[in-house]
Amino acid sequence: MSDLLIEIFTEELPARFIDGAEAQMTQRVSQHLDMDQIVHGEIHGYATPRRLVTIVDGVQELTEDRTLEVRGPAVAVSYDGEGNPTPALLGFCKGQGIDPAQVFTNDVGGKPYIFARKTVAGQESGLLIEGFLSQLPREIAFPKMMHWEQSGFQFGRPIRGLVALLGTRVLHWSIAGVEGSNTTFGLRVGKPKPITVSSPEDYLRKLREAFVILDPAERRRSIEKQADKLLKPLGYSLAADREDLLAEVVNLVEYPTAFLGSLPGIAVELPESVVRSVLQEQMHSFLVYDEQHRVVPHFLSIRNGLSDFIDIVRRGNESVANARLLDASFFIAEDTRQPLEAYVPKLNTLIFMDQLGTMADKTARLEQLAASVGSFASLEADEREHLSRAAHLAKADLATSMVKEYTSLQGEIGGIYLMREGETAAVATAIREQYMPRSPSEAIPSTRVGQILGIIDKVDTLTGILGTGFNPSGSEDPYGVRRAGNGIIRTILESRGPVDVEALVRKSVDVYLAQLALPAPDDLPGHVLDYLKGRVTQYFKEKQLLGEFSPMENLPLKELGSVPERMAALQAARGDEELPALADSHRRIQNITKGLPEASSLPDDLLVTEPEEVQLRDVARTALPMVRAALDQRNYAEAIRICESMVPAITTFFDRILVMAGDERVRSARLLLLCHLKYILGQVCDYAKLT
Amino acid sequence: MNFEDMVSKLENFWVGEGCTRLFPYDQEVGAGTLSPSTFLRVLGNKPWSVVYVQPSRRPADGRYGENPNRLYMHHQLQVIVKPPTTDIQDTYLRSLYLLGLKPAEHDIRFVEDNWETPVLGAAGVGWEVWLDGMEVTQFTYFQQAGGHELPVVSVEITYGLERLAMFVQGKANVYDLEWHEGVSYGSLRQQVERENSIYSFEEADIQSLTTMFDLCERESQRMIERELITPAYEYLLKCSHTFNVLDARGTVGVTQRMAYLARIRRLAYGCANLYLENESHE
Repeated sequence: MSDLLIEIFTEELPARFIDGAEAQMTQRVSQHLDMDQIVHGEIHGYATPRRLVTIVDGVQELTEDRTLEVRGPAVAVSYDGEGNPTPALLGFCKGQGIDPAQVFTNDVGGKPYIFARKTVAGQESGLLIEGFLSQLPREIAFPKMMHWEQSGFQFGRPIRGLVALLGTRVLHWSIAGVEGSNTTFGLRVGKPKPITVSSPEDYLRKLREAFVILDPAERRRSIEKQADKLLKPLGYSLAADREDLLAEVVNLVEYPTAFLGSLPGIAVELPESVVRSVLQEQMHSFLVYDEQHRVVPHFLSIRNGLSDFIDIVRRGNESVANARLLDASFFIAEDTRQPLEAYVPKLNTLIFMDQLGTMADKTARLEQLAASVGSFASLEADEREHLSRAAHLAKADLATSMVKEYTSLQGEIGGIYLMREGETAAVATAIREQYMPRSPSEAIPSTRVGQILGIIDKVDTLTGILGTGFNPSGSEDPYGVRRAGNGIIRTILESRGPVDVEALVRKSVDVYLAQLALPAPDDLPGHVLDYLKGRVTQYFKEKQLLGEFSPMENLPLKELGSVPERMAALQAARGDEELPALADSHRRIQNITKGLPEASSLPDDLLVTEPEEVQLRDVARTALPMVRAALDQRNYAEAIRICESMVPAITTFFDRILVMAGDERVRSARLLLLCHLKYILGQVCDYAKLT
Repeated sequence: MNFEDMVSKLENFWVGEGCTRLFPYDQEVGAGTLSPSTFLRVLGNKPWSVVYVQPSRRPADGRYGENPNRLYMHHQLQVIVKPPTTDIQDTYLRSLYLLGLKPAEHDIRFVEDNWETPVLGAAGVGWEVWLDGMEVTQFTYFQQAGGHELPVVSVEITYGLERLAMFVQGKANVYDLEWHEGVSYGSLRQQVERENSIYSFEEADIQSLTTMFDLCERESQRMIERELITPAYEYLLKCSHTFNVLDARGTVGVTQRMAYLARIRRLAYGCANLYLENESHE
């Protein structure tokens, strides 16, 4: 048994490619080994910016002998009249290297065929591995591919070396003009010195000596440890939300050395989000906080390399940070020479999206939606005023130098400038929060005005993009359609504030069509609402709450805000004795009234004559206003209890009454009664979906 | 090391690596990429290695000579290696060591940065090179130009000479750089920066420039029809610069802007097609 090493050595892979590429390579190697029936131990995947590495423990030198059954000619053509082998059978046997006496027969599709049993001797694993190695790089996909040499082969970045060793044996492979060998390179410092490796073990040892930490998890631990060592004595720490940056930095280096840099005094005067953008996004460095969670004028950065001459590296980084922060403060000073209001007219020079007009057009639409907020959400008078003002100024910061330079600060900058101008805090906060949640982990806006502004902005984006005929599918989200959809849904679900998203979408479409010609206006409201419903289902699927959600699936979208409370109430009712019977009743009603619409009113009294149907009618008549009242008070437990109380009457009705009566008028009346019950129960949820 | 010495060292280095040294292209361009020595020569199959300094004008980046980092015109050292050698990254790094940078003393990184200029139908993938956190070079494997997928890839290495010089000379303000012994960058450039910023942001006559764009476009188009690539391309460059000034002047609306870019793109594709046709006839 020997260990197997595979290394694809490249020019610097983008940090965001690395984890995915490593996972694919590990998986493909595992699949190849299985397909070739090579017995092996554990598989380890490693990666740095310059290499993708798989190490497989204990690979058996030979694969096991295998028995194969090979199909030959049909029995019908294999023997002549005397039972002697025909040329067809003889030819088959010769080909398989066996005697005609050794064959056996078996039915295939009801017809007997000749079979030969053959033993295939185990093969050398090394040869089998060489058989798939050259294929391996082709099987790794990157978010963006490139070519660099004449064969046109595509990879994430140019491949500059290939190493595969099975024990001490150098395996042969080649791709894109690069040949497999037993040499690689260590950390990039000065003139590259080739390293010759004699075995997987030797590779691991020599790379470590050459300052390459192969395992991303180890690099991460090292960074965290070094950061602690530098920060703890000072009472400092990194931000709690450091995870994304840490994951990136781990894949920007082969050998991390942390150092603490100083920032100019201006850093503590600038808005924290600006300092964060400069340091985290532009310099891949960490903000540092004191015990009171205040930014201190330091940053933590990770060098790719040793701690030698770290002061030079520190000074270089400090002067870059200094220049960038000065630049930002220069932009802020320039921008704030005018009030944010002055940037609104400039929005007509910024395009929102191809075919969807400018940011000035978008602003006009947001203003109209804000003005009609009463038709889809309830706000206090002062909130309505704040919303109007916020909609007017929402996009103004896009025309400022700061946002042109730091696009990720959109909204944030508008909010900061407005606060400096002394604008109402509610307006500034709404503008700052309008793009939230930007990712699944980010919170929704914290204020009601911010939530509504965020929702109308996202609905406007969604309506517009779907209105261009764009079909959102696949994993890419080039126009942020999915992000907008998820943002709308999460804001409604998590704020639990009622928003009639159906009315809002209809209004949004009207506003668009009054302003510009959308290429795909046919039933656009329906299209947008269907898309949102799909995102709602997806939301609960990702939370693994699909079962709990399914009774809510058919509620109108405008009820979305109440769904979490309804789900909770239904969960709480799970122990009720009557609940299974209620589910059953709802199911029976649905089955018998299949295809008939829910009825909001009862049948004519004259047609309801049998005592059991009279009783059910009376129960329904009492229940409806009670259910409505409970729903109005958002008392879903009560609503469910009322539905449960109807079960005995429903059961008796089904026991005693023939719904499909001969008399058509009687039959219609009974069906109508049931359609009315379907209506009442459906106000709360679809109990029939309970399992 | 002063500015001019640094430039000569880098140029000589690449000449030693087999690049032909050219003079800067004698027209306004926004970047070394727009010189025909890059844009046209990266097309087609013929090998090509070149090094040249290219003064690059970006009217919208002008700051009246008052900002320590931003310039109306900066200088690029442009290197094209087509097809690239397999050790092109190491070759590039050696050019930095030549400037006195000791590899063990610095943190030199290749950080993902892909480059795209839709108006030229050009795109590439590569990195910004960071020197102790400062971006000093753009390193790109060209993938497309003039709307064509490139059969032979070129590596483009673009040094930002001011940035690099600031690093080498340890200066925080570009105008404090020493260009030649006793001659500062500021004494040569600051007044020019101020004047050109005033022109681009305040004085440029919109009507004249609009007319100028139309005339240059017509002339470029006419030359494409006469299959004279060089004049066609030179008038395209005039269009491009004229547009950049109009843009800095802040008078180009969205729709208008898209229309301008589409007009320049049409000329760029025309020139690229012509160049490829010519090469296929050779």
